[in-house]
Amino acid sequence: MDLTLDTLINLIKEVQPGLRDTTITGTDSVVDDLAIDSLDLLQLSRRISRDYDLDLDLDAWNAGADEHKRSVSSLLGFLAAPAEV
Amino acid sequence: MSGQQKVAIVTGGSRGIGAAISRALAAEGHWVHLVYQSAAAAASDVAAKIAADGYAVTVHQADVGAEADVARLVRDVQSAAGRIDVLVNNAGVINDRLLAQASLAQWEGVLRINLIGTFLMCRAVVPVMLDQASGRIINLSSNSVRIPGPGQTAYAASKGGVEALTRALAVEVGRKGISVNAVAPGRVKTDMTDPVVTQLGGRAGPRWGVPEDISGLVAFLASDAADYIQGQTMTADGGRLITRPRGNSA
Repeated sequence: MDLTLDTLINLIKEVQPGLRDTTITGTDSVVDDLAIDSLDLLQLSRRISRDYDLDLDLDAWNAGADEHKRSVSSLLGFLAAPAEV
Repeated sequence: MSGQQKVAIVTGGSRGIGAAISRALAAEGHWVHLVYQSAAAAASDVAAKIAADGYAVTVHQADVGAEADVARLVRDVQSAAGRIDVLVNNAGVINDRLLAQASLAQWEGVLRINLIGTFLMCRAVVPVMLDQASGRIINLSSNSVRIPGPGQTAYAASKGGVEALTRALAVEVGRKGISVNAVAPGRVKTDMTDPVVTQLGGRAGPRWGVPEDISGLVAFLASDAADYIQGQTMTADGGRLITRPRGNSA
């Protein structure tokens, strides 16, 4: 099963249950809008690895934060093609 | 979790308080992964008795102060059991010496096992507990943090560090369903404390404790009944900390 925007959003809601009733879109910033912190991100990366066999290099993704604002879509794009985000 | 056997790692599980903790957690239904560094025969004896009582136990050799050993240990437990519900960081050493006479190697050796070992074990196990969104970490401290004897600068500092680590880690992971607490025993008769009887006080005050005085508290902290206890250091010393020294009538 491929990781999609919807499944990524569901994983975000799993690691931060307080977002369960929040409408999340691809343009929302994972950090600034959704208040996902570093521990949440660690937990999220392990779930992505476990469920989708994808490695999330958080340092590499964070390095491009000025451009992609750490949006949900950028995370999805980074997982699909780490070198292009 | 219901219906699934809980899995516990107990470091320093071959002797004294660690052996009692291993027995207590096994009796509470945990599959105990008993870790020893060098006391292979003692570890086998403890495991044999646990197994003879019909409980699940597996023995592992590891130096908790060695990063590679800790990684291998946690990998092995996960491979065998698929989860880790309880981590008891009990492995510890006492190597008391007056500060002015202490070597750097002696000081670092105590911190390596007591504090860095606790850090390494927590660092390896926390991601597993994060995956589960549940877990219990129980670190063994000591009353020596508050009432150290002469020569205990390294030991007291290492255990003080364990208590600070406990609180800080509880703040870090508590909201993820992981509890982190510490138990601070008073004077307890074990192989490890035999050489320091004088510093701990041989006669006056409450009786010497036995390992089972501590293991019951650890088993409680590992149980569902302790679900709301977070970031605490719980003393079990027969009242020594609150006992006024004899002859002091003020």
